[in-house]
Amino acid sequence: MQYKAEMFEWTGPAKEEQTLSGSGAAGYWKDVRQRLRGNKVVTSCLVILLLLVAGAIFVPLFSRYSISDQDLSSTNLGWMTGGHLFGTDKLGRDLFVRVWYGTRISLIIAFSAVLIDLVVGMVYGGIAGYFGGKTDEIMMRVLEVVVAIPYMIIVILLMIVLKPGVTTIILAYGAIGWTGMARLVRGQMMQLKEKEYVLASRLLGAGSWRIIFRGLIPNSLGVIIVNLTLTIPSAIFTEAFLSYIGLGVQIPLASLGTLASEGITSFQTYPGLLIIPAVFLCVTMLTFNLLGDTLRDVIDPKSKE
Amino acid sequence: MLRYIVQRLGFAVLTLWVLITLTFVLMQLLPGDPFVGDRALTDSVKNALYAKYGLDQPVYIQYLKYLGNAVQGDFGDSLIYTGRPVSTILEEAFPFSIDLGIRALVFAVFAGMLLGITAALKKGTGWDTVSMIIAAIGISVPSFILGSLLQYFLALKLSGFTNTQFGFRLLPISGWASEQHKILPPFVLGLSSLAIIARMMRSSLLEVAGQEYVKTAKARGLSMPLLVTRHMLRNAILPVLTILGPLTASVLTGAFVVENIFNIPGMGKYFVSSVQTNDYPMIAGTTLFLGAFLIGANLLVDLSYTLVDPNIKLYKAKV
Amino acid sequence: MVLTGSLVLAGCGPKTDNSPVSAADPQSSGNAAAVKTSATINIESEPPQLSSLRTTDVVSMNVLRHVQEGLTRLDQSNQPIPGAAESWEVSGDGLMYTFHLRDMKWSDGSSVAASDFAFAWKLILSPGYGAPYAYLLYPIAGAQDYNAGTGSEDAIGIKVVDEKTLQVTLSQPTAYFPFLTAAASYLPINEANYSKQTADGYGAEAATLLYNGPWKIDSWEHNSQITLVKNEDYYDAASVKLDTINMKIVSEAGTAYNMFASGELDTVTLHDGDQIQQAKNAGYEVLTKSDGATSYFVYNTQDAILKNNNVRTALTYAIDRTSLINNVLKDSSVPALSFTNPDVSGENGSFKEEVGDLLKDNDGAEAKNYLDAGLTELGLTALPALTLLIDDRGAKKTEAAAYQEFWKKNLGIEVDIEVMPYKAMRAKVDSKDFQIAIGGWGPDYNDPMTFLDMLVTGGGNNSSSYSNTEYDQYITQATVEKDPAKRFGLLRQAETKLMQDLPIGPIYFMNQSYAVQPGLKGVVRSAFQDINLYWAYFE
Repeated sequence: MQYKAEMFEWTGPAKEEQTLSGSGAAGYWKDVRQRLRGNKVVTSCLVILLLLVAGAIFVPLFSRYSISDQDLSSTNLGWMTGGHLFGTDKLGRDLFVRVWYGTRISLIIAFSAVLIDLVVGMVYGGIAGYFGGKTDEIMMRVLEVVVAIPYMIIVILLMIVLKPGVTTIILAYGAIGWTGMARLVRGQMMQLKEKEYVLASRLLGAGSWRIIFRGLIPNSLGVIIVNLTLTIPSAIFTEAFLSYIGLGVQIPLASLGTLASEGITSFQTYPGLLIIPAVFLCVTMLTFNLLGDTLRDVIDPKSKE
Repeated sequence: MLRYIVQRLGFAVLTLWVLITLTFVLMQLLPGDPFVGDRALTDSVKNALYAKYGLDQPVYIQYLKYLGNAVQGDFGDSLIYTGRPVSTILEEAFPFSIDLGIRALVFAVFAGMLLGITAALKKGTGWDTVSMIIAAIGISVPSFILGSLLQYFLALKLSGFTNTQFGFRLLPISGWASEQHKILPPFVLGLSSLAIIARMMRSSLLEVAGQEYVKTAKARGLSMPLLVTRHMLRNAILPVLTILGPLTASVLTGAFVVENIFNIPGMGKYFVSSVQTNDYPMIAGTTLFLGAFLIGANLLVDLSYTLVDPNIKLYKAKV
Repeated sequence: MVLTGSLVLAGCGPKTDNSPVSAADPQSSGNAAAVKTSATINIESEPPQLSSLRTTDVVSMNVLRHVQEGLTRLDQSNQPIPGAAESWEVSGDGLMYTFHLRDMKWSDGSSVAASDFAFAWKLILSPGYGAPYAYLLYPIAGAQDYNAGTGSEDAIGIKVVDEKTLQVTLSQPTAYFPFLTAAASYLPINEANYSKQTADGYGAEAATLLYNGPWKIDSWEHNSQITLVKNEDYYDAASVKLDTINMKIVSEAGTAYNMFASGELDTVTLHDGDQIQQAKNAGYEVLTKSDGATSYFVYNTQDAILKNNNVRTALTYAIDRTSLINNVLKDSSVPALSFTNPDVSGENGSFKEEVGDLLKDNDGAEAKNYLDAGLTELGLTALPALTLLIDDRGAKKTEAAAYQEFWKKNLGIEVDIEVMPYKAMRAKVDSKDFQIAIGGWGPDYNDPMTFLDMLVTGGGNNSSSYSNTEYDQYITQATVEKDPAKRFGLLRQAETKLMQDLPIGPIYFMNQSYAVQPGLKGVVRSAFQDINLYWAYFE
């Protein structure tokens, strides 16, 4: 393939955005808002997410069935039969309400994971990367220990101390989930702090925290956002993996992970039990991924159209 | 540089020591007993077993003994697979894991970078969308679903069809014997890494494309393939490298689901089962292994930073 | 006549494809070329080790059953028949068994001697060894004391009379002793070979074992497969048809079924109703074997609420077992309205038939009455939420959700379900930190005692902490009672008493379904022999 200059759009950084003055940053976010408004992908992703969130909140509230109501005389019903939109599961429970409830649980887990990633991972990685030297050395060694501690021990101990359930799963994710983000932010910090504008701000008397959080992190936002959109699937996967080995949310509750892992055992006879939760799972993740992708393009101060 | 490496190795030993100490403490808190089966043990049997494996001694004695032996390369025998040293069990499983892991990673890195580069260079076009959707699917389907579905549709149904029609089986259901066995599992295992790499590649390449020197180079009429391969990739690869370390470790050790579905005798299962069965020497052994592996991978990644971007100085203290 | 028969069999046994065709019987020789003599089955996990001293799991026993042989072995209908012992005599008081060994060789060429049994049995009982199943040898005089560290080795009733004669003295007459001697814990061990291995090494690798069974282990690829080849020196090699057995280690049930469906396995266990349906849809005949085990609720009788008999009765009666089996499990399990599994023999037939149904299934109204009575006794107006503890294996979670709903619907009780990894669950049960748990119990030998002595006061497996002097007396008396009729009478009384007090609430008798490829015949699967290919052959 022949590459020509015309095939590439101009994505150069605007000089004013590389300074750290207050007015520049405000102008930048205003700019971001403007660009977000017109973006079709972002809009449709947000609409889908909104629908998912609304469904997750309201369907279980207003459904005719509760998530635990069983009818052993009508188990494994197919689509649109017996008054069940998505049919019923092995215990004759309404799959429609269970899938929406599962979406709720999975979204709670996902959002909590993002929060943990943002707060713990970013701060940790930011500090380590910016200060470098001994601080970095010690912080990274601590991180290595955290990552290497057997995950299953943490999960089981958490289940003993707390009860098995959503909180436990979030904490189980949080225990090591932030480390990826921390390493990534640290890598970015190390790279960016050598740049001229950081030196300039330092000379102008900006404190370390200000440089980290007003200068370096916004400039790493692209990578951070992409990583965040990866956090969501990995959090939902953590939950699904725990479901797969039998340690998911509390019965009779359900998450998309537990529903899918229950469905996997019977998909050859009742494919709906797998397909429906799997589709919800995939749509949720796809939406987050596309949103993250597009946001990256829009928010990144260096890639202005 | 050499001093830095030596220093890091010193740290590595220290880290491993902290890790094993912590694990030893946490292990003691695990509920359950390695010897409990479906039948209760009589007290005499239980005491005999505890005495035999030194579990009747105070924890600090057990700990010191373990450290002493581990330094000499003896990681003890498994309490479940009695008579088999932990090191032997891991040694036997490791070749399968490394084979599976390398195949998965090679697939993930090549396909992932290809997708990422395509998407970045063709940003905003259909190529971009398609590449990113392929990547998104990779991280949207949990491996236990993907693995089971592929096994059913490709290895059972499609291969059953080719068998009746053409007299050969396309893909076997499970196992790790022939090259045919080694197609589906690495694919399933590598797909999520592929997605991660593709997206990382795309985003960091776009970032690099916005930088002065690229613009300058472009303005000077440097040919695009040269620009990409010589200059942009080199800089864009940094975030990809960052995740490659942990990714390698997770691919090697986190293959539990794929090993389980495709029946591969790798070491992924031990990371789960050793904890579930309270097999203490096995827990300690797998932890040390994973720890050493992660530390090594991180060291390599940090070193490669300096190779890729000479601006980064790891080994000079800076405030 | 007999001679001819065995010659023909010998001809088609070992040499298959290349065996010279006998002109006398063109029909059979024509087939002989095509007949498969290699079967592939799956075992569900890697055997922890294959030492008969330590083995407690079904998988290891499945392997050992094919490669080592005790004094007796079980036939197709689970009756003990001569194995390494050609014959045996029992003394008039039923206490002394004299076994006469046949000429049998270990796979290294040495002969199987009476001392091999004495060595293995004394080792398994030695107090320092810590063999989990040592208790299976307790019927032997002095065994229990020695194992507990209070008796001497010399006092054990095992006597090597000569190389081919073993005399065993029991502490009580034990009619099922020849049945026990077929169990893995009673297998012989060649001392010379054993002492060559490292401390725990015996049974860790195929090369550390010697074989005297119908097959030998050819290779053991850990976590992958165990390959058995026919033992040509086996005394009954002529009737063993399979030359090789490949045991693939497949832990994932779905994978195992797919392997079966693609022809990679010759037989497979169907793990749930869905797999049974799949197999039926694919046109396979679905066979059923009793698992021999009973699934039941374990009620913690030390708990402030579950100490009440009426509450326990209410919980037990409120379960709709029939609906559970038909709609949720969808397999061939049977509602359990008593504890001892139907596969266990009683005085004349099945012990379960002799005691009859002792509980009510799905009796919501009566359950409610019991609950009200219980609440009054406890001085409560409503029952606080209870907790059902289960482990994470198999389909327990689905079952538990069904129980939760039965109790809610029939009794209006809220029950939380706590899922734990198996060992963690066992730890909670053993420390009595639970209210209700789900238990399963299978027989060690074919006698009701294997079920009933579990619940004696202070028994190791008595997780309910049940303690009742009347019940204890029935069991103690039955242990020493020599008259079978009286003994079974006592056992029936014990079972009845148990079902009145309900420290455990029976749910169902477990059955397992499995499918076999059309060509493979003679596969024996039962409660006492999970799988035995001794009589298996391909058509």
